[in-house]
Formats: sequence, C-alpha cells, structure tokens
Amino acid sequence: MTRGPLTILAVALAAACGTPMATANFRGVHNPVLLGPRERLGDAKAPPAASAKVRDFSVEAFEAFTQTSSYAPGGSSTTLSASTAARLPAAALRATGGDPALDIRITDLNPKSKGNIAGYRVAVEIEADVVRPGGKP
Amino acid sequence: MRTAPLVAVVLAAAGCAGASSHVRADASRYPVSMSGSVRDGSGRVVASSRLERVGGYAEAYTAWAMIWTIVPLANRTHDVSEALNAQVQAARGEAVVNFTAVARPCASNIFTIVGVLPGCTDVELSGDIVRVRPEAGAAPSASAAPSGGGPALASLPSEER
Repeated sequence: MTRGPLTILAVALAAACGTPMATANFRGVHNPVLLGPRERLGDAKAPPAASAKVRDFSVEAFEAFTQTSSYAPGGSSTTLSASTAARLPAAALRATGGDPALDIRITDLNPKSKGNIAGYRVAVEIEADVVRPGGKP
Repeated sequence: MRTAPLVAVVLAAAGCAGASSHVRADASRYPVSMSGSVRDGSGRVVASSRLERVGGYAEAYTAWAMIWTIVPLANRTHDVSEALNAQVQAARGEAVVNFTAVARPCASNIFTIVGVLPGCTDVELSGDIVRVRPEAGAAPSASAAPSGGGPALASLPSEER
C-alpha cells in the first residue's frame, strides 16, 4: 500500500478514536424548550393546554470532519476541516425574540451520524414549533 | 498493481455508514425541557433559584442501520418516557430540565464496505431532575406537593422572566 492511502487510513482511525460528538441542549435559555406532551408542572393527567403556533424553529448541533488528498510528484498532502456545533441557545433566542411568554415545543429530536473512511458528520437535528401557550399568535 | 490500493480506498470511501434516531417522550408524565426553564401550573416560568436539583436523568443507547444508512436495524425511534418516568419518580422530582442529547459515531463505521455493513450512532441522553422549592412565605402545604406535581403547584407564586 502506498503512503497516501496509509495516511488517509491513519487520519480516519485517529478521528474515530477522537470521540467526535454533537451535543444539543439549550442551557441558559429562559423559555421552556419542551420535549413530550407535558407543558407545565402539575397534574400529569390534565389535558395539554391550548396554544397558538407562532413560527417554525429548526436548528442543529453538528461536528464534521472531511479530508481531501492530492497526489503530486513529490508525495501526498492531506487537508482536514471541521465545523463546530451551532450555538443553539442563540438560535432559540432569535426564534423567541426574547419574549418570555413563548415556548419552544420540539417535534423532532434527531441524533445521527454518517461517515466513511474519508470523514464523518455527526449531528443532532431539532425541529420545533415556537408557540404561545394558551394564547393567540 | 499501484492502482489496487487506490481502488480499494475509493471503494471504501464510496461506502457510508451510520444511523439516525428519533427521540420521543410521548408518555412522559413530567415536563421535559432542554433549557433550564419550566412553567408552573399557572403558566409562569419558575425562577431558577426555586428549582432544586434532586437527581440526574441518564440513558444511553445505540441506533443501528445498514445499506448506506437507509435500512434501520434498531432504535430508529426511541421513546424515553418509561425510563424517564421511573427515574423522576424515584428521585421524587417534578420535571427534567437541561435535557441534553449527545450523538457520537461508532468507530466501526469507518470499516463499512461500500455501505453494506451495519453502522451505528451512540446516543447519550441526560438531564437534571428538579423539584420546585416553595417561595419564602408560601403556605407549608405547598411545599408538601406530591411527586410528579399536583394541583397545589398551580397556586404557587412564580417569578416570570
């Protein structure tokens, strides 16, 4: 095996051992960011309160690793690139406009990863509705 | 023969492994918030100073798929309700806040052969199990609210942010 593929394999293995991850939460956000049917403290058997949807909200935390290799007469070169996780709390703040009366209700929380010897992408995708509990939009 | 290793790498790179999972809490008996905030029974956000951490929620699982991640094998959908209800009840909590989802690719994903072999994603879920402290001057009966919240909580005064 030539040096190029060996380098690629070594870098891919190093990435696998580097425990890449995507982390999603909304620490520091003043609005509830809810998963599941319970919207507030209290009687768990009470039906969900009526709410009005204000807008859609979509965001993801992700980390990606890709590499490109070029073969030149003098040898090979490898380029690494990575993307850091999105700033979820800031996105939530933009979605609510800082209005403390609004909630974010998650409709899909989707951790995923995909990769091969050339790189990977790991993400937590979030689809949600911004709602006004018990009110009009 | 110099091209053989290159062909092998290209074939391996053409593969794609991993998995996707959808986390749900459809039967949760408690509010689950990915922020540190939760509303009381009257709809007001409870001040963070009144949220007492009484335990931690944690759960981990692995989602599997194969054939370029198209065919789900395990944990395509994962409902946390049962584990979460049990852990919150055991801690005598009323809600889970700072719910966090972490995704990690399995190391074995890089060994997939043209996308055929199974791939996976490790998912870790965690959060803080909390209970609401009564405000100073609140009636003693309010502090004795049952686990999981009760109608008395609705009358607790809260601070809206």
